[in-house]
Amino acid sequence: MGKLRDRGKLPRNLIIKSSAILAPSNPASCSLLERLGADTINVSTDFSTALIGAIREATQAPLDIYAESPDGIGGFVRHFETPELIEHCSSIYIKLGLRNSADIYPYGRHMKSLALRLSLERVRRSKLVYDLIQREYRDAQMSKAGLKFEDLGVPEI
Amino acid sequence: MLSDAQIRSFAQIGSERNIEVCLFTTPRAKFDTGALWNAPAGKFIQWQVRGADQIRYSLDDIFRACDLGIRSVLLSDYASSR
Repeated sequence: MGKLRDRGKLPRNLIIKSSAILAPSNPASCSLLERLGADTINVSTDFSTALIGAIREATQAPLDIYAESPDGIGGFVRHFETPELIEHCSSIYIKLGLRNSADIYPYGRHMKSLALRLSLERVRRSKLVYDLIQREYRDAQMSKAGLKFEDLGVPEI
Repeated sequence: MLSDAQIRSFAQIGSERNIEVCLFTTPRAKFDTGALWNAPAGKFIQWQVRGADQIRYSLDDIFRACDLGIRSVLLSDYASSR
């Protein structure tokens, strides 16, 4: 895909994200993914701040990090670690799966109410983490919502 | 497993609010008829893109999403990043 994008067969502003399922587990793997065309990288969900910090040294790509991971990939609840993750591993995208919840892949309309409830809880949990960051690390710089940034894959219609 | 109309509506929302909309490509080994992904030591392959046909299907997914306005995709296999 990276090559197809380079050749213009796919839009040049297409963002390619590598999944947490790939679970790259060392700085070299992440560097390899970046060379292959990954714009952002999900690291192994159970990595300590120190291990992720070493990856940060090896790659420029923003890292996608679960402050809370879905059960299927660990179910780790790491809300309190987010300030130090921001401090030592930025640029990062903080995201939340939900511990203690059903895996709904592949989603369909038959599970609409469940998916909606899971999404609402993710929003609630995200606010908890947001508030924690405000309390513990006021100097953290967060991208402003609603503005267009080049590294975001905003749809073009 | 999204219709064109659904993907377009996602794209519309993202475009109006400057929000990235990222879609996960399919299919992967867990969708395929092979059974290794469900064996005790085979779980790790369930998200891989399995065989040349699944690469083609994944690319079709990505081309379709881009045609409908999507500008971000999530991949779960090293080879499909290349």
